[in-house]
Amino acid sequence: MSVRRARPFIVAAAVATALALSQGCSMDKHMEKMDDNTSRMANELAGYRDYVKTLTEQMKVLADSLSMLQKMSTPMFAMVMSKLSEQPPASTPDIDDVLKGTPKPTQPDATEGPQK
Amino acid sequence: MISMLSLVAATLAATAQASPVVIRDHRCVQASIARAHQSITNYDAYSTLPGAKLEEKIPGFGSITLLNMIKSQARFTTQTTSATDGAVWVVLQPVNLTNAKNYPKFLLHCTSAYDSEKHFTHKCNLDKDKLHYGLDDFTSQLDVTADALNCPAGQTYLDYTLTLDGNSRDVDAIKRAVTKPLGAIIGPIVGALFDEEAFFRTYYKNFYEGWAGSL
Repeated sequence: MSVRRARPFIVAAAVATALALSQGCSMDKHMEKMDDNTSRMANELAGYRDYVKTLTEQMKVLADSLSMLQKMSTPMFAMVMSKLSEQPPASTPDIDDVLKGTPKPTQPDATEGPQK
Repeated sequence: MISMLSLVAATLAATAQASPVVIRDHRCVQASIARAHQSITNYDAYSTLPGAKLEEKIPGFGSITLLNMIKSQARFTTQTTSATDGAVWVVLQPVNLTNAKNYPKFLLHCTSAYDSEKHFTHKCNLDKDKLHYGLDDFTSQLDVTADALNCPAGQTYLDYTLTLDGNSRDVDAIKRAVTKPLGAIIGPIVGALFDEEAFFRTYYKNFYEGWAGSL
């Protein structure tokens, strides 16, 4: 086969080679980009891992505080309940006393006034 | 505990303002008009109604009685099945106080009248000329109608409005008497429950609901 007759094949082969090379180059760039993304995601995940670790530690502190508060509040509520438990009411005027009685001014509270 | 703390926070927020308490309520009940009239004018039975005692439940510890109606007495000048006019004497015991001086007490002038077979009105006003403690004013109006528009057939419509003014000085004195035995740290926390606005509003809302529920 003469060179003249083989030229189209040579050109075709050259074009095919050029195309393959250019595609290979593009693939390399794509792979590099993926590597960058993977690396960035790995960094972000590491950040999240630290954040979750800190959050877990803080929640543990909060749970301990709540537990301590509950332990402290139990005797407090028990004391409140015992001091505020129901007592029989004092004797009070009946309606007939009120209807026949003259208006009475509101009595000042005995707890008012200077403490001695 | 959380519910009590929320209530404390809510009452602390309400402490900032002292304005008349207004309660409005509309509801349908299964009872007849005559039954509602008989019940609302049966003042002697008020202290035995389910809403006569207001309690604060503390999960795991039981409940504290905040305010309890220990006396409700009536003297009528008119008492028929369709109209009443009388005086009603009410005494409330706050928490576990055993000194009657700190009991809210007041005399109401209450009337009721049928305007028609299908409607009656019941009104109460504080008698300011007689002994009263804890409240400076009290006005209530209940309109009861056989209302086919607002309620399912056979039910009765209740339209209730209550306006009352607590006396801040009296309520402060009650609060001091209740909280003094609790000490300087816990006392003020419990004292927050006794804001006069929240205190009487909650009590009378509970009382009215107890009465309406008993019909």
